[in-house]
Amino acid sequence: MDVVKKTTTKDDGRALYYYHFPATASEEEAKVFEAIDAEVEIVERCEETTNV
Amino acid sequence: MSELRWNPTLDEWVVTATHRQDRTFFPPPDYDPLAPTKPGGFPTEIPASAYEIVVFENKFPSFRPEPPEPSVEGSMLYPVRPASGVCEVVCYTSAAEAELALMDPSKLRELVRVWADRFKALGSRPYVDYVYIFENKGKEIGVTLPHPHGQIYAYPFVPPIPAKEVAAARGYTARTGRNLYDDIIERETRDGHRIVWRNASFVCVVPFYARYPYEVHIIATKPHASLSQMGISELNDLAEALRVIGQKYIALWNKSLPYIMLMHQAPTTGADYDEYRFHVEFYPPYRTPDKLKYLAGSEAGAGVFINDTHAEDTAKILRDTDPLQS
Repeated sequence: MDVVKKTTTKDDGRALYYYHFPATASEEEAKVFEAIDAEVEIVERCEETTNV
Repeated sequence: MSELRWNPTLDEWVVTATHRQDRTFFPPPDYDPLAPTKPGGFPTEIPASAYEIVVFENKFPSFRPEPPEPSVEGSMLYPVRPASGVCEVVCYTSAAEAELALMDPSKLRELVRVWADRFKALGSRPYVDYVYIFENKGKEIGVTLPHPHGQIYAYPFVPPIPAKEVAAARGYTARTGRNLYDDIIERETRDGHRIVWRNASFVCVVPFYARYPYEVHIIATKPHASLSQMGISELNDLAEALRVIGQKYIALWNKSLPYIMLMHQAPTTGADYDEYRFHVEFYPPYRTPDKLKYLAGSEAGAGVFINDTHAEDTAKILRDTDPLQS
């Protein structure tokens, strides 16, 4: 599952994070996410556990 | 304004957050602050016309990354601290009528991935010692916004209940050489009476020590102390367990059951918490379809819960209740 996010700042300074899932997003959701003026960050995938 | 005030009689912090008196309280349905902002519509918390899952810092937070100084002077008897931390709101979906257990399974898996990312992001901040993910659902719990959402509190200290659980788990290991949660799972598996459901990574039980009649704990069967230690299969199994238990709750009395849902995870202090175990706890406040369990004298004042039911009986009822969609 690909997970990406964009971090933005609201007018009053609060952080707002948009999460996007390309595999299941609707066309409109994908378009809106793409239009958000922020860098795309890859959400680190949780690797299969190695410490067990 | 928020500040931490120390209660020396219980050795614990109390948060004062006087600005929260003014928070949004049951807005009309067409004024949903957690909905997307539609062109020409009123501006909501999310200035976009659509979204999948969004997370934002609470407008009325109890904790802030850059908190103001306390409004009162501290003393040796009454220490005070700035309320440093983070309070976030997690909007599960843009659909105002949705609820967690009825979301598409793929959407629920995505939500779990967001929780895992928030745990990691918030837990890495130096002023955060504990990341607490929870959902208050239903007006009986005091929810003031019906739009499906949860919250995350990133505390600057380890809260009393997780601290007590960590101490209990460590004490058990010190006394027996065994892991407390392994023994609970082994015992529940052997008995079977309190198991509601299970999959490869989680066992769902009404615990032997349940405080609420229909309380369910979803306990990781592998030694994971937090979401960040889980692999993709465990995260997906968690989503499935949340969906099944949530749907059993709805099917139980054919109504959208209110609850408090919370995740207990290892503190993020940097220490080892190998004895601890990730688990989710659900507290539905109803003891019958129309009778609430109130936290009254014994529970609120003495910290002793009186449960009107046996876990074995309510577990059987929940076990025999089919989820809405299997």
